Amino acid sequence: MNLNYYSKNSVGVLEIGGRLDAYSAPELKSYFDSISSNTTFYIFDLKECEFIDSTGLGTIVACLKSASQNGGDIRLAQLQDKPRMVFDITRAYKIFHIFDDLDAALASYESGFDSF
Amino acid sequence: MRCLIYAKSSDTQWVKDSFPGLEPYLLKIVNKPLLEYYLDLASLMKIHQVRIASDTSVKEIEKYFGTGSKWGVDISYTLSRPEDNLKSVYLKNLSFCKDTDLIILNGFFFVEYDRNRDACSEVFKNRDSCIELGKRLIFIPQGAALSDMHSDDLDGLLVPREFQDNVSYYKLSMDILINNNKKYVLPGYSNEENAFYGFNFIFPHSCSINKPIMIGSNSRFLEHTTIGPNTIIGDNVIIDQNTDVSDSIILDNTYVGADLEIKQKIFYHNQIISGLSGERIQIQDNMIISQVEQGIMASFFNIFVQRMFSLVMILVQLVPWIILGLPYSLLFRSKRVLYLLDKRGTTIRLLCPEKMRDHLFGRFLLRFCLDKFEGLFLSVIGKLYLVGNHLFPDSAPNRKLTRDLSAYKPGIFSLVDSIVGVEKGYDEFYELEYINNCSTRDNIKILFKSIYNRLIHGK
Repeated sequence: MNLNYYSKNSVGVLEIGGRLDAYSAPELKSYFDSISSNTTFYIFDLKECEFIDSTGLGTIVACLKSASQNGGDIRLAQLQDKPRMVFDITRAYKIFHIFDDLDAALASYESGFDSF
Repeated sequence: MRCLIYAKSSDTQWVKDSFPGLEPYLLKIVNKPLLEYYLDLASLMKIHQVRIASDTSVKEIEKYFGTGSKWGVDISYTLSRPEDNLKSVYLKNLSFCKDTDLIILNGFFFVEYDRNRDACSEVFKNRDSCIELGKRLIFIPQGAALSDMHSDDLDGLLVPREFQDNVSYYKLSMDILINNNKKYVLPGYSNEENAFYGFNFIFPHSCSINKPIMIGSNSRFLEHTTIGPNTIIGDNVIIDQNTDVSDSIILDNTYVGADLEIKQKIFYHNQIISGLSGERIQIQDNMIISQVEQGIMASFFNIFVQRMFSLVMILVQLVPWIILGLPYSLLFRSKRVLYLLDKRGTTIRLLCPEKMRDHLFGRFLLRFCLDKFEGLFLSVIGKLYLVGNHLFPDSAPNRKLTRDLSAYKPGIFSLVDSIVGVEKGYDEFYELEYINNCSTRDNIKILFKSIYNRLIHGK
């Protein structure tokens, strides 16, 4: 799994590439914990993420919980077809905002997306 | 131009209540799912990219439409949160929506159009402002934002039509079947006015069929039934003898009992809905109406009986197999071929009766069904049935055939084995016959007839 973090307009963007499974999920959690002091609003860019299993999804949900406790949020961008199926069958789409475009996800924080 | 379909669940509760287990956007209107009309409209407008966004699951929709190649469009799927409004969904799909003209079909409604009118396909040509038709059909030209919309009736070329209960659903279906069936591409074969027939429907000479009518695939009407006029019969429907059906809709996989008179009703599995008042009752008595089980084969009783028979046959054949069958199968490995175990194309290598017939010893073994011995073990562990669909050898045509069947649960013995003088090339017919009619009692009959045919006729 590849992780790359950068900040844009006070929003933390975490690029997740490769497979997010039981093997790599702890790495994501510890990485997220290490960056969570930077900001409270995040976007997980899943453009290069080819596989997510239930453990991987559980870790993303744990990250969301952690961000929410600090008054923040995690939004997902560029979710690919195969990982989307995991969000579909587990109904995890009900708790995440999923965007097909990274800029739109960034803009959603700027424009107060919830007021739409 | 692209098309975004927002398949939101908020206005589909009545569908979930009346037709439990059915994905609302796959509710059939004149034997065609609602979403398919949307895709037809997209095709008519020469739209090649369609995105379906849903706030429930897209699993069933994706299973039905796949990539959209059958409809000549590329379909992508996305998920949204139940509380999302249209603007949120638009923003979440910005990458898809920007840089091109866009049509949004918003929610659960029917859109009236006429495929024969060229003007329908160019209704949005050269328009440079956002247009909305009843908040259901929205056009956004390239570069414009999802705002500043104005209403337009588009000269009546496209008319959103609401149907929010059973009565309006019934009226819409009847209206299309009786008055507007030329406006849409409807499923089935039609060589006469107001009549559409699906594949493989079976009816006796004593059955009367009256137009306007639409009959789905794999349906079966029994003796002295009267079907129509103004009737829509779905796929895999069985109508028992002496029953009259008129001005009604029988949805897929429904059994309608004998000696009934059905008028202005909607039948769905064990539900009867009045087309006039929308009132709904659920019938518990399977003699009147029930869901057609696509597999009695899958019932616990059937499986139990089949496994017991398999065990008995193993005990009976064990000694002959060790003495005769085992040496044969070791010596003649070339007599084995791959057989299809399921629709996904899983295969298994077993002795081939056709190849065994080349050899005198092989023919002798066939008389005592010793070619089936290995399969009996598979039946006991549940990989095969003792009696089921014909076990087809692995080939491209057979893969297609098994995929097209509504159920494929192969057995060591099949209906074809029990019939002497089977017509070659009619495999599908026999399989459909078996799927529609099989019962545990029939399975036992098939088993004994097949063994008898082998022993006496060497079949």
